[in-house]
Amino acid sequence: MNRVTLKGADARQQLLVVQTLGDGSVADQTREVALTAEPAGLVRITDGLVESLANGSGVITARNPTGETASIPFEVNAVSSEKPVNFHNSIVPLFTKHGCNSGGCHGKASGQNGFKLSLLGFEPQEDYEYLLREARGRRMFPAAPERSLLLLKASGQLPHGGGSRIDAGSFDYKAIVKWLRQGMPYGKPSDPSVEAIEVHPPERIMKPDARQQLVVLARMTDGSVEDITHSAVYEANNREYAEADNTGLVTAGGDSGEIAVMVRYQDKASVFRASIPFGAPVDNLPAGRNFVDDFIFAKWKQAGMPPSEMAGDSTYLRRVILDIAGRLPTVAEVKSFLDDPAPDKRQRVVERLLRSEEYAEYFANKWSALLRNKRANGAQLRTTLAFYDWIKESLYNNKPYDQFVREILAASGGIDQSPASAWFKQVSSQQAQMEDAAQLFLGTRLKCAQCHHHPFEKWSQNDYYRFMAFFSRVSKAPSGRPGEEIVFHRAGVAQVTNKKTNKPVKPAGLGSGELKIAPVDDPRHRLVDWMREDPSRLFSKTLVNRYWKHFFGRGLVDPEDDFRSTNPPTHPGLLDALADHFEKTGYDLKSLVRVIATSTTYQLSSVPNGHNAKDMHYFSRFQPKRLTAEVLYDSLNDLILARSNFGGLPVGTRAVCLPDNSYNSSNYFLSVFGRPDSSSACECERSQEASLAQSLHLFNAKNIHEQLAHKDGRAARLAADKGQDHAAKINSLYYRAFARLPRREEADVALAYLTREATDKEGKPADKTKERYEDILWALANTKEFLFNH
Amino acid sequence: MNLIRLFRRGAVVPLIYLAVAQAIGQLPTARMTAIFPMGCQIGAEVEVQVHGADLDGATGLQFSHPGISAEVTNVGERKFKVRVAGGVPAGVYEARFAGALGFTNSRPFVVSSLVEVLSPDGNTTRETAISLGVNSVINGTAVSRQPVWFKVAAIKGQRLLLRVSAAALDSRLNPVVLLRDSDGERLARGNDAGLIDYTPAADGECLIQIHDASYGGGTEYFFRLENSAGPHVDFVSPPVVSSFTGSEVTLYGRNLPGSKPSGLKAVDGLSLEQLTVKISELIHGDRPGGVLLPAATVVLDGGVFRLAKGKIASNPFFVGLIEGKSPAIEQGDNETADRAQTIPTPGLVAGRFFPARDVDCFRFPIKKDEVYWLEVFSQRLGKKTNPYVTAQLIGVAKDGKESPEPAKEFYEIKDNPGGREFNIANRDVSWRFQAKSDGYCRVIARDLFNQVEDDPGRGYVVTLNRERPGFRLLAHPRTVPSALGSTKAIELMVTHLRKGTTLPVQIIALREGDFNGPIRISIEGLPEGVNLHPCEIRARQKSATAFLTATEPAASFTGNIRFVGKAVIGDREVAQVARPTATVHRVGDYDKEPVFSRLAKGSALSVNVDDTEPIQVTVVGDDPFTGLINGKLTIPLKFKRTGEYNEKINFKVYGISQLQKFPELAVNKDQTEASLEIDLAKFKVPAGQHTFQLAATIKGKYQFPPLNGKKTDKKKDVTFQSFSPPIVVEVKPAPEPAKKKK
Repeated sequence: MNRVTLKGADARQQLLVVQTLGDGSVADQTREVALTAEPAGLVRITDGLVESLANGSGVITARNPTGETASIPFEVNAVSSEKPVNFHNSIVPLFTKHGCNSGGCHGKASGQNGFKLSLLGFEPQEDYEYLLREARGRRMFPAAPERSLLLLKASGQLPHGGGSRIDAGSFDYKAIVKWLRQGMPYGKPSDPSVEAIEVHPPERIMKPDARQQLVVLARMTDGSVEDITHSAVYEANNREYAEADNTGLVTAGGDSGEIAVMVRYQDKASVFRASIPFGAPVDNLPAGRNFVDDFIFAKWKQAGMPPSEMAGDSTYLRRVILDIAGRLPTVAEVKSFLDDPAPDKRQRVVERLLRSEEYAEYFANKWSALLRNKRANGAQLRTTLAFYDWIKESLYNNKPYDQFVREILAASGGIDQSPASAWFKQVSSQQAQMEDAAQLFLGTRLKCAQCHHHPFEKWSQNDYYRFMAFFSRVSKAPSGRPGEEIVFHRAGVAQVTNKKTNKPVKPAGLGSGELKIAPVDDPRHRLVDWMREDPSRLFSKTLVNRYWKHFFGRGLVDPEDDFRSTNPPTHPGLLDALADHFEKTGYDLKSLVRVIATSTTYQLSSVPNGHNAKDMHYFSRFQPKRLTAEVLYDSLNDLILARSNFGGLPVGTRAVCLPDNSYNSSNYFLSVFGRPDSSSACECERSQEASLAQSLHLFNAKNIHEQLAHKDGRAARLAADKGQDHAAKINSLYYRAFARLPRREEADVALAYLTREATDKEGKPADKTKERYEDILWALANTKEFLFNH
Repeated sequence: MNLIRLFRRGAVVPLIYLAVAQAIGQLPTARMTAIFPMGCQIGAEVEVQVHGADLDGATGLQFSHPGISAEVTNVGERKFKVRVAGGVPAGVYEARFAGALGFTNSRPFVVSSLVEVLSPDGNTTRETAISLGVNSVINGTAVSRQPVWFKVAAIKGQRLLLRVSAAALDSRLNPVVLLRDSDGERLARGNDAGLIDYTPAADGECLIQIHDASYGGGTEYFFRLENSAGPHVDFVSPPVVSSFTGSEVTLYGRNLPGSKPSGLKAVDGLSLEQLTVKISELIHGDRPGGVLLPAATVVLDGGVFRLAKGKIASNPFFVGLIEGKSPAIEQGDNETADRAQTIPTPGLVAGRFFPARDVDCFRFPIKKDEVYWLEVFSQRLGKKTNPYVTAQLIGVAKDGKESPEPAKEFYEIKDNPGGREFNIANRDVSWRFQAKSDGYCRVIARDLFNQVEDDPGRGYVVTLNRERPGFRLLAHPRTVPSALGSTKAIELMVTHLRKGTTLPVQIIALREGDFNGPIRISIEGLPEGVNLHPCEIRARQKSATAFLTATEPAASFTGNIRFVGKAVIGDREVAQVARPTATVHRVGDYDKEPVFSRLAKGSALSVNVDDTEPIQVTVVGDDPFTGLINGKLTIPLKFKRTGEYNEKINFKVYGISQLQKFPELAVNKDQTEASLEIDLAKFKVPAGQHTFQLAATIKGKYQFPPLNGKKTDKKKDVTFQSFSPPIVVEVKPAPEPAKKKK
C-alpha cells in the first residue's frame, strides 16, 4: 500500500515504518519515528495510527532520531457522512476485543449474571436478537446512548463484575454510541462481510527486545480493504519469548527463539511469525547426512544458533537403541560398537534395530495407547491381546501407514477377522470416532467445534458434523462370542444432523466439499482416501511430526496433534520435506525413522555450548528426555537382573511389551512414572513430569530393594563371579547402565567402596561384597544419566 | 435288533439326570478333555494317555475306525497302547474312552503316514528345543505363560512347510507360531491356518516357538506340529460340488504335485499354485475330519478331503455337496448390475470376494408363482466372511419392460433351533420368496468383512432353488449336569445309563422349504433293556427331547445308536438319520465364554448294569394322567433309594409354568410312597397335554460300581440335581352342563 486513504469520520489506518539496514535486514521503526502530517489538521497520528479529522490530502512524513525520513501521501474524504453501522462487522468484534464474549464471561454457555453472548461472537445473529429482545432490550437506550446499561457497565460507570472494559470516550466506545444512536441496525444482507484477514508483515526476524508493529487488514467480499489493526485480538503462543498488546505491537523477549502471534477477528484467524535469532556465529558445521540436516542447518544460520558437538559413540548407541527399541544396549552391543571402526556403523545399528522385533514392540506400545487399547475386565483380554498383536505385526512388517490407518478406521469384522476392530470397542460413539480420528491422524483437535466455531482455527460446526458423517454408517452386532462385537458398514445414506442448524449434512473432509457416496459404499474408505489426497497434507504431516517428537522430544508443531494456522511449525520447509519423503516412500514408517535417526541433527550431543542451553526451537542440541515409565522399568530390571512378572504373561515380559493399560493398577512403578491409561488419543496422557513420589520410589521401594538383593540378581552374580576382578565388573556395569566405561574418578570411588574392609555387627571381618554391589547398582540407577535418554 | 420299546408304566422309572440351565451337581460321569498323543502313524502303535474327569475303571478306547484298536496298559494312569492297522487311510478319527462310569465324549485322533514324535516336557527354552525331522509330526502341549520350542533342519533353498493343528482337533490352543534362526531372529510367522511356508536362505537350524495367543496352557492346549514335504491346500474352488464322483475342483495351495502358478497370492504374501483334480482322486474322509467348521455348516452335506503327494497327504479341507447342477464359476467383470452374470435356475454359482471390496452381481431367471430359496453359503463353508446381499426381483413383461420391486438387503441368519449348545445362527443369507411374475432375481453380493485385505480364499456359493420341503435332524445329548454351584455351565456331553437311569437327548429339526409337519423319532441300535420314550417333534416345532431309559438292561453296553426321524412329506414318508453333535469344551459360564460345538462321528451310548441309579421314582398307573380343568389330579408315586442317600428330598414340579409355585413334595428317608395332588383349577393349568418332571437336589455318598470287574469301596460325596422321568398329564375341559328338557 503506497497511499493512505481514509474515508469517513471513523476511518483509520495503522502505518508501518520499516527501515532497511545495511546488512539487508529490516527493522520496524513505527514507534521510534516522529510522524507528522502536512497540512496539519486533516489527520491525527498516534503511535502510527492515522485517524481522519477533515477532508483533504497531504503527506505524512516519518523522521527517525538520526534524521532519516520517509513519507507517504494521504487523502481524507467523506468525513461528514456517516455510514450505517454493521453490527457483525463493527460491533461484535469490539465485544471480542474487550473480552465481553470470552468463554470465561458472557460467552460461556450459561452467560454471566444473566447476560449471554455467543462465544467470541461466532453467532452474531443470535447476539443481535438477544441484545434487542432479551428483557425487552433493557440494556440499550438509543435516545441517550451513553446512558445505556451496555456502555455504563462496560465502561465501569456502573458496578460491573468484569470491571471497566472500554474507556468512556474511546474510539470503540464511540463506535457503540454511534450504533445505538443509529437505532441499533443489524446491517443489510448486501453489506460486505469479511472474507479473510491478512497480517503484515506475516513474518519477521526480530532482535531480542525489539518491537514490531503489525497491521491487520480485512479483505471484504466487495473487494474493499479495511484496517482492523486496533479491532483484532492478539495472542502470543509463548509469552516467554514475546508479548503482543491490543494495538498489534509485538515486543520480543530477551531470549532467542521462534514466536507466533495469533490474530483473530470475527471467525477468521491468522498468524504473525518471528524469529529472534541468537546471533552467534555459525561456523564449522558438521557434515549433513540428509535433507533433514539441510533445513535444520539453514535455520541455525538464520537464527545464529551454533549447534553442539556431535555425540560420541557411547551416547549415540544408547540413545538410538532407547529411541528405536525402548531398551538399554547390552554389554556386548556396546563393546562391539565401540570397537567397530567402520564409518557407517551408526547407520548399520539403525538398520539392525529396524529389522528387530523390539522396534515393533516399542512402537506398538506407543500406538496401543493412542488407539485406546484398554481393558476393563478379564473378558476383554482376548481383544486387547489381539489388537496389540495386530499393531505389532503391522509395524514389524512395515505395513504402509495409510494401509495401517485404513485397516483401523475401516475395520470390518470381529477380533478374528479384523483385530483392529477393537478400536471401535473403546472409541464407541460416532463423536469419539471422529474426534479421535481427527486428532490422531490429522493432528486436528475438533472438540471445540462441536458447539461453536473453533476458537483458534477455521473449523465450523458444519465442518465438525460433516466430518462426523464419515462414521454415520458404522454398525455393530454381537459376534457370537460373549462380550465381543463385529463392526461393519450398514448400507444407507451417510449423514448426520448438525445440532445447531438441525439439518442433515453429508460427509466432507475438513475444508472440502461434501462427497457423493453411494449407500452401499463404506464412507470410512472415502475418509481415508480423502486424508491421503487432502492438499493440506495433514495426514502425512501429523505422522512425521509425531515421529519427530518421538526422537527429539518436541515436534516441529507442538503439541504434536494441534495443527492449526495459529500454531505454525518451527521449520515449515522441513515439515513439508518430511511429508514429501513419507509419501514418496509409500508411507514407509521405517524409512522415516531411518531418515531421522541417521541425520546429523539427531546425532548432536545434549551438552550445550555457550549459546544453546535454552534452545527449544532450533534443535541445536539433543534435548534429554526422561525414560518413559515402561522403558525405565525395563532398564532397571536389565541393570539389576530382575525379571518382571506381569499377571497372565510370560515371566520376564518387558513392560514395553505390555498389551494394554490394565497392568498399571497392579504396578505402582508404571503408574507413578506416568504410563498412560489408554483413555485418550493424545500422547499427552503420558506424564513425563518429575515428582517427589518417583524419586522416593526409586530410592526406597521395597520391591526394588528386594530385587537388588535377590540371590539371582546382578549383585549376587557379581559377588559370586570369581572370574573377573572388580575393575572389570565395574566396567561392565557402566557399559550396561550408560554404554560407556567409567571415568577414572568413578572407577576409583567404586573400587574403593568395594575393597574397603567390612565387619559384621560384632566387629569380625565379613564379606559384604554382594551388599556393596547392591549399593553401587542402586546408586547408578538413581543417577540422571541413567534416568534420562541424553 | 431291538427297536423302540414304548416306555412302560409300572416299570421302575428312575430319575433322570438332566443337564438343564438350573442343574447344580452331577453323579460321576466320565468325560475326556484330551488324549495324548493325539495321533499315530499308519501301521504303528503308540502309548496314549487320557485326561479328563471320572475316568475310573478304564476298560478301553474305542475308535471310529475298526482298524484302530487299543488295550489298557495302566488303568490308574489311563494309559493305552493304540495300534493302527496298515490299511487305515490317513485321516482324523474319533476316540472315546470307556470305563466304569461310561463312554466319554469323543476327541479327534489323527492317523497319518508321518513319523510321530512325542514331545517331552521341559522344552520351554531355545536350548531345550525338540528336534523334528522332515515328514514328521510332533504332539505337544502348550505351557501356560511360556512358549515351547522345537527345531528343524534348514537346507538352503528347500521349502519348509510347518503346520500347527489345534482347534480343529478340539484343542483350546489358539497358537502363535514363530520361526526363528539359531540366534533367535525371527524368520516367519504362522498364518491363521497355523502354516509357516518358508524357504531358508542358508543351511542351518531353525527354531519353532509356539505359545497360546492368550498365554494359556495345560493338557487341553494340545497341538500337532507337522514338518511335511507334502502338499498344503489353502482353499478349493468351487467350494461346493454337485457330486463326489464326477466333479472336478481346483486346489490352491503350496507344494501341489503337478501344479502350475495360479497368479494369486495368499494373505501371507506368498504365491499360490493351482491344481485341478477329479474329486474322486482325493482321499475322502468323514466330517468333521480335522477341519474347523462353524456349527452352521451342518445344513450342508459334504466331505473332508486330502490331496496325496506320494505317501504324504495334505491337510484336510471341506468340500460341500449340493446335488443338482454343477456350480457355475463366477466370471470376472460382473461388478455392476448391467454386467450381472446370468445363472440358470435352479442353479448355483461359486465365486470369491476378491479383491478387497469386491462386488459380484448375478441374475437368476424366475417364473411366476414359483417359490424359491435364495441362499449364500460362505461363513458356513468355514470362511471368515460376512456376506451382504442385496436382492431385487424384477418382473419382465412380454415386451421386455422391466418392473423392479424394491431391493431387499440381507445380513445374517438369526434362526437358531440348536440353542446355546449348538448355535447355528450365522452370517450367511437365506431368503424365501414367491415370484409375482416372470423375470429374474438380481443378486449383488459383497463381503462386509472384506474391506481392506486381498484374500483369494474368501469363497462363497450363491444358490437359487425352487422350494423343496424336507428336514434334517441333529442329536445333541444333554446328559452331564453342571458342576455344583455353577448355573451357567455347559458340560461335555455323554449318554451313559446306569441301571434304571433315564437320560434326555435333544433332537433338533432343521426344517427345509415349507415343511412344518410332525416328525416321529425312533432309535436304531438300542441294546436290550433300553427303551425310548415316545418322541415326536410336533408340527411347526423345532426340537423335542428324546428320553432313553435303561429299564432292565440285559448287559453292559458301549456302542453307537442312531436316532431316526420319519415324517410324511407330500405323499411319501421320508426318513432322516440325525447327525450327532458334540460340545467341544466345558464352559464355566456361557455368558462369559463362547460355546464351541461340532458334528461328531456317532451317537455313542454306554450302559453299566453294575451301577444303579441312587433314587428311583416310579409312577403308579399309566399315563397320561387325566383330570378336568376345574378339578384335581392325583398321581401316586413310589420311591426307592439305593445307597447312602438318607436326607429328606424335596421335589419340585418342573416343566409346567403354571406349577412353578406348586408346593414341594417332601419325601423322608424311609418313605416309599407319596401322592402328588394337583389342584388344576387353583393353578389354572390350561386344557391340553402337558409333560413335567419332578426335580430335586440330592445329597449323599455315591458308591462306585465295580472297577475292571472288581468290587471297590470307593465312595464320593455328591450333591446332584436329579429329574424324574417325564410324567404326562392331560387336562380336559369341563363338560358342558346338560340342557334341561322343556
